[in-house]
Amino acid sequence: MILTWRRWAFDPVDTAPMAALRIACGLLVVGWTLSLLPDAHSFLSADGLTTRATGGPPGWWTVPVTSPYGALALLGAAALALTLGWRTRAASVLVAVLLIVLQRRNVYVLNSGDLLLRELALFVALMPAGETWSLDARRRGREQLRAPWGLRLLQVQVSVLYLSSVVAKLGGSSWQDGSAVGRVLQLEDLQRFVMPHLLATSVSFSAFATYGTLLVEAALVLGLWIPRVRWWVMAAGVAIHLGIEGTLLIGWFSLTVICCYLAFVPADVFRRTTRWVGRPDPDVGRQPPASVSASAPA
Amino acid sequence: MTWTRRLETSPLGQALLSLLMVALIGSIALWNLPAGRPRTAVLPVVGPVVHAVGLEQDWALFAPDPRGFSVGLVATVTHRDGHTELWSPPQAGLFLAPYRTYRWQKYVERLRADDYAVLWEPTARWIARQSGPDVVKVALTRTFRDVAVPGSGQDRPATGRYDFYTLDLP
Repeated sequence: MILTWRRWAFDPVDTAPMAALRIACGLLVVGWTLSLLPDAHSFLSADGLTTRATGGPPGWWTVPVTSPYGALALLGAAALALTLGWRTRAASVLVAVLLIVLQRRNVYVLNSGDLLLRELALFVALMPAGETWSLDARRRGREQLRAPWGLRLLQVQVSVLYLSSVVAKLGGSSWQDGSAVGRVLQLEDLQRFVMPHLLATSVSFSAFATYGTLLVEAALVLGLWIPRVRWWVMAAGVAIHLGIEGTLLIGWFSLTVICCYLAFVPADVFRRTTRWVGRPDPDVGRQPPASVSASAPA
Repeated sequence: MTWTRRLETSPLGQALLSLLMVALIGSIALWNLPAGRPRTAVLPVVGPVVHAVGLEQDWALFAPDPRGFSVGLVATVTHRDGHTELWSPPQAGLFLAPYRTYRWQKYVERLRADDYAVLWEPTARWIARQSGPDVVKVALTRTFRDVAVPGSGQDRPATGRYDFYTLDLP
């Protein structure tokens, strides 16, 4: 048992998936920051919609945001550094902390996508995400295999996300009778475009989409860990999230979830992809990557 | 060798990191328990850990049931000379704008609920400031429209309106 745990959490692996997560997380945070700029004054300043951060339960902490634009500039710069892998550890910690500070400044505008982005940043900060495809690696001149314990935390988080979502949905009558998605598609404040009433109120369409969502979310809980079915459930998950993205206003949620799937992609897929796009190995003295299964979940 | 690499390769470091992993995974798992007595019982222990590291989360999207009605907000702003204008939050766009406007949607979704009455006055005052120095009244109105149950054959229900807060300024 202890041996299995040690192998799972600490056996050194190729860090390509962690580097991919770092780049994806950095780009998402750059986008998140830019999208907040037009409303920085309204949401974050002392003479905005709320005068200061609200208090919270035990353990909750906040930092006064005296300069919203300054804080966003700092977050954008840190996110850019994270994307490029420059001073990766410091950049990733700064991104994670600033996301908490800025999000807690006005909790009334947050949705689940904001929280997931913050958690992705936190777990990336715990990973050796600058070992590959980074300015840090270029400066050091060699890559190293590293323990994947931070990656494992993110993988567990993704499974918990889907398990929690399915359990919550099964407690609702509309998810049981197949009408949930039809109801959601009629919520005008969430519509990306006006959904035809006939389609949104179609029993067969709603039932298909409702039960399909439940089925895919349930499959994702464990399916992402099983190499034989991983690609199938991942493809189904991506399809569902792109469907949500194309129809509903849920901010950064879908893109962030899809980026989290990178945690389950084996390292050799990334290596093959970089070779395929003509970037064989930019780093000098890289040790041979671990076997494919080494970085993939058991 | 960096300190992080030393930590993850030494037996003591691995033991410490294992404790951290168990604490984080346990906290996430317990935090995500369905509402009920077990969750209520563990929350005083797990909550502070989760809040301290910023791991609070809620994955009950559209669950247990989606909202049964669309919501919106309109503010009627009255100026000293008697003329009025309507203010509404930035609306959804098709491509890039939704990555911004979802925050306004979320704010309105909360603002219209009585549980968030604490937001009404500051919001009305903020709208007044945005509308100029001569504003004497801001009235906040909720708009709502019920969703039709799929298969019920219902037509698109009509939109309702409800004035829920008025701010009078000197």
